[in-house]
Amino acid sequence: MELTDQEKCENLMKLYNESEGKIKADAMVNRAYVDKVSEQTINEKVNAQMNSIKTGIYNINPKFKEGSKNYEATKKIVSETLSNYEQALIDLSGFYDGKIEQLILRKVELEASLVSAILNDEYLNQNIAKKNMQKENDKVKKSVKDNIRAVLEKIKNRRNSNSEVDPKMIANLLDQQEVAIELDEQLSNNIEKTVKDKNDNKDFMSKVEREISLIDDEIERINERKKNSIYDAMEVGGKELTPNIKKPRIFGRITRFFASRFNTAKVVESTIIVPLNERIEAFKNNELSSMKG
Amino acid sequence: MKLGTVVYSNKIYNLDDMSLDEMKGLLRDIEDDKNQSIKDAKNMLKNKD
Repeated sequence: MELTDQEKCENLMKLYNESEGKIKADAMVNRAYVDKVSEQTINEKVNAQMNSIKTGIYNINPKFKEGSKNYEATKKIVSETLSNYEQALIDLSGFYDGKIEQLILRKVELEASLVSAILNDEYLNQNIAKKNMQKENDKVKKSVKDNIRAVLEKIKNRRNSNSEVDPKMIANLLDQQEVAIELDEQLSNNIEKTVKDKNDNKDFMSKVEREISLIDDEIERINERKKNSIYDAMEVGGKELTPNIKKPRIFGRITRFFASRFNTAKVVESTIIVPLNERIEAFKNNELSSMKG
Repeated sequence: MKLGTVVYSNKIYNLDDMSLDEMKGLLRDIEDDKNQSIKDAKNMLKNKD
């Protein structure tokens, strides 16, 4: 069923009123989703690192647990290192999230201008209709004037120079006729311009929709790149998360009895914590700082 | 990290309590709804041409 002009305007008004809420909700959920991806990926990575440390400590001394000598100090140093590790990953994700945030803001801007362009389209439609109507009215006026003109011409021809009809009046009417034709031409030009504006508006809408679609793809790509970048960060050798930390070769042949004679805390620190801290620092000073520029 | 809440379609969503999949689903719903509104409006204007 064909909608009336009023129904169409009401629908467009509804679109306009609801758009703000939808665009805002979309941007907020999108931003929150990006944060959640970062949070989940970082948690996964930190947990894997924590498990690696635990495995490493177990490999050095399986008996090293709560109550063991220097256990609390080791626990503290591990916790500090993991916080440092996590912070480096948060900084890394922040780099990507900042880029995504810019894209989300750009998307909000584009979506708002798309809604405006739709309303503008309706305005231009009405403008064209109004001008066409005016043109029609002018045509009617013109034909009335034509009739008057014909009548006046007849009177003019019928009567001679002694006519009672004022020749000035005839001249005025003829001038008005010229003006009407000129106005009609101007109106035609205005309609042409409005039709051109409408086509430009349509092109603009297509352009905006294309850019929005590209932004959606780019957000997805950056999110994926961020996840991979977090997984790869501070890894040794391969690209996978470190499954465990290999026991230093020298301890491979040491029996449990012999291992208990060593200061486990010191061995843990020198073979697990110090190398990990070095990796964190190297990552911060190289990859991270070059990313931030 | 506090994500807060969002109101959409007369419902309040607590983003902190939502899983990644739930959030993705909500995002898809909003996107579909938004695109449908735009499509309807454009179709309506097309009929008018």
